[in-house]
Amino acid sequence: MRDAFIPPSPLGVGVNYLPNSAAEMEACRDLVDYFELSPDVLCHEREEGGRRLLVFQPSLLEQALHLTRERPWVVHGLGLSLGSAHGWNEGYLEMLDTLHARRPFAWHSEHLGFLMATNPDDGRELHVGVPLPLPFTEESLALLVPRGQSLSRRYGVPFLLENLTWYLPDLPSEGGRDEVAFLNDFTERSGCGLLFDLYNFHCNATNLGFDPWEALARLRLDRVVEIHIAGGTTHDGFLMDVHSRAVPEPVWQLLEWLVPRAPHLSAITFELLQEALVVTGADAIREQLARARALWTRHRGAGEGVRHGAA
Amino acid sequence: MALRELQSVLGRMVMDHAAGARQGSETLAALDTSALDVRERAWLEAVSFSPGFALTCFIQRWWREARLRTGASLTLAALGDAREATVREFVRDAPCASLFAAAESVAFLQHVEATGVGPHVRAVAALERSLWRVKQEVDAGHAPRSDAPPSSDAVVTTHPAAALITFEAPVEAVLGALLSGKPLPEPRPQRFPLLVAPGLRRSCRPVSSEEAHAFTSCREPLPLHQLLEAPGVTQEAVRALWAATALCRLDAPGK
Repeated sequence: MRDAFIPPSPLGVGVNYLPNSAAEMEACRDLVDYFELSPDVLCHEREEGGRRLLVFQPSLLEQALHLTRERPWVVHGLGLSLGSAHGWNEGYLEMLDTLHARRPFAWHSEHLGFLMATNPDDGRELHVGVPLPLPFTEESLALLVPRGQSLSRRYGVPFLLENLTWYLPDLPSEGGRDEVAFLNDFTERSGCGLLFDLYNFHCNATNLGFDPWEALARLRLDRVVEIHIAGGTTHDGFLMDVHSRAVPEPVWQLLEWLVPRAPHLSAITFELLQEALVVTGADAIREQLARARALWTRHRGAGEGVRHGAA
Repeated sequence: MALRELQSVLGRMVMDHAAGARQGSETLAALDTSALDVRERAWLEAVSFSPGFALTCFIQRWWREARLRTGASLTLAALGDAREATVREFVRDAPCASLFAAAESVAFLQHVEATGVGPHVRAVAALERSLWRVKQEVDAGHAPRSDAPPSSDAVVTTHPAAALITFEAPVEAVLGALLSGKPLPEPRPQRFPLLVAPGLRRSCRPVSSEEAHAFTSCREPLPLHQLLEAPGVTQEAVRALWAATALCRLDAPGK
């Protein structure tokens, strides 16, 4: 049964929280309305009785709570393996339960992909080590829809599905679906929202050769709650979603088009990899956030979003 | 479509190809794909030869090596010219188990402790692995203690997160060389024991021969009075080890 989609309140512009960059996070505070937290990065992973457990590193958790004080949180998971037919990572959810009890978040998102599979040798769990895409099929939807609904109910906040970058050609599909049609079917059937990663989308359009404007025009824009923007590099002729550079102009153009057309858009998040901070620098983060805020204000008005002293 | 089987085969193809163990197409040919239909098998076959598949496997391997650079940096430095070959061997032989630096690094460090070649390599790997163990212990809430040793009939043993590592040169010289990129000191005939324990500031320090002897004397659990009566074991050494949380009661392991 389809759950009702209840869009969250607008937040504004934010950045992903980097746990080993306290100075940079403090420097961003005046430019962000919220932080996006990937709680995995605050944890150790341990195996106990054949199960994965995620245990918070107390110093990292306390620092995160402190540095993000007076700003709402949204959670963006990395390790749930939402699309694993073998089974998702229960340890991740137990960790998220702990976090939610400590401090609630406005919504929770995860990737349209899988990290774990069944080892063909012995039937046990196999960790692929890199997120892989799902085929655009009824079976994939049958797996994802109830999981998305379950996550929304578990935390009492919207669950958002994020589009992935992938490099494997000609993903299997049914019913003529491409990624956009698949995302539309997911949101329609589940009542969940979308975290639309414009940089991932741009990478796929470039690498796989489709028209991003045509595809974007078919997306259920009323289900886009959060947008990710980022930049990356090329390798062997492919554009890679390494989130290591400033946002490229084609992505800004897509964002300019999308923001006024997504009626329930709540947030724009600039994403940067921890390891890339040394290369990119704190000033670059501030520039990206300032540009995103100018765009947000231009289309959504200065009054939308939670004001925390941001310009 | 058998999604579970499709993911299983694709996942295994990526793992094998990324590890350099065998090509994705070879893995596909070796696996039982009877649960997949003709189109799925044809897709996997085509994918296995695609540049996108090669890139996906490159990314997987790159992330594994990045985790090792984060979590085993001293050991990688100690390996010197043998670094690339050692990492290649580990990635080939040890399947990816996690996205977490600690899990991957500890597995690599165990590998190097057992097989590493070169001056100080195994000792540095043992040190780095022990430091990870202590960090996880402290993060799990097993804080260093400040109480006095227990009664004399309490059964004691070494703390599960404590370790005694024997270096062949002063530890400061070895670590200083690794951190500054200078040549490692030559191994000496003397032994330089280093204690790693949750109760130590910075988690480790050099120890005296008396402390080292007391530590090794209770690897097997025994009553405290027996430890204190053992030849060469001093009360002072036992107190120092207890204060460092290098020892614990058998009935309260880890505390």
